[in-house]
Amino acid sequence: MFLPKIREITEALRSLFTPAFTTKYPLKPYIAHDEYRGFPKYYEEECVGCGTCVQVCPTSAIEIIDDKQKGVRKLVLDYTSCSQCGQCEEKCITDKGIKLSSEYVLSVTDLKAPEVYETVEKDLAVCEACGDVIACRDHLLFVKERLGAKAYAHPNFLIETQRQFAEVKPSSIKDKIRREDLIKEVCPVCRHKTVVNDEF
Amino acid sequence: MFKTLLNKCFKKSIWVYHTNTGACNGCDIEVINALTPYYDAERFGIKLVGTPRHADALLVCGPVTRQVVPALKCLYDSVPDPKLIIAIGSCAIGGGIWYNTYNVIGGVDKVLPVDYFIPGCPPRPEAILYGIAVALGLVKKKVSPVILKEESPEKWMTF
Repeated sequence: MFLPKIREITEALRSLFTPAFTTKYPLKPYIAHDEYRGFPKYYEEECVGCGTCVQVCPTSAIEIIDDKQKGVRKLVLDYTSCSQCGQCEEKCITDKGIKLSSEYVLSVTDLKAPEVYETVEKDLAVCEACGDVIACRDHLLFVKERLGAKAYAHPNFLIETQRQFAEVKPSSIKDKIRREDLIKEVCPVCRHKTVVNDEF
Repeated sequence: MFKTLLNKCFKKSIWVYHTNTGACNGCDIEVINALTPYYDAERFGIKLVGTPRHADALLVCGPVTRQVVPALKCLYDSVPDPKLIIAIGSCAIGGGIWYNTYNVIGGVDKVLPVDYFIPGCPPRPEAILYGIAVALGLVKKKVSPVILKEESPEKWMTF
């Protein structure tokens, strides 16, 4: 006796009216959920420019460029070599300077295209004696805040705090810095040299 | 609109050949994932083929190790012209975490002329689909990645 294939017919009817399982992705955007580890992104107000992310990055996707003449530090993040491991976010000293976003889509034909790079620029504090890099100004202020009242023991923090309220001009460079020059923005090496070598 | 889309899709159905030049299998899994029914790359006419001689495009995953260079060159020669080389994953682009190891010479672009780079570790299947859709001309290229935007309230206010 011929039996109608009820199970197959109901399945066919059901699949006729249910929407397709396949995504309509390139036509409709897909937004990854918040926990997805996408490409990292700098937050310029929170970043202090310490360069921890550069040291920690396993693929060396972040490059640090110091311009001592202009007093500008650049952190250049290359998305193409980033492996989205999240070390930069984890080790960031402010915990907010760099964060992994949920963005994941990038397709380029040229590796030097501008959308591949993200850059943060920070002002540098430069040694008045030798012209070497001390740290970023935001970094010094961040450390000052962490130290609290103890920070006023160190001239660099003091000068950096002054600079917030009034313009502090760099002093004229001498051949040799003396003990009286210690209340100036001086790098640790020069400070040590002065303390050890300078005679009264 | 549907017809024009179909015409665009099937003007040239890209057949791809998938190679691994020393990857950790992460990108390979994502490439295969893009061919599964959920993402279904075959709706764009993309098909995985078993030999490079049938292929139009070469998907390369992984950093290029020293041993694989002659094989990769041989593979490149056996793909008929015109051909498309797509580097998938951050390893295939610049070496990834093996950028300075002794046995890796770097990204694919040091050996072959690469047409499209899809970064990510591994890239999501959506990112791979997007890269291939850009290559096919289905989607216009965005400068910035996908960002969630709220619809403007003016749209609702006007009658």
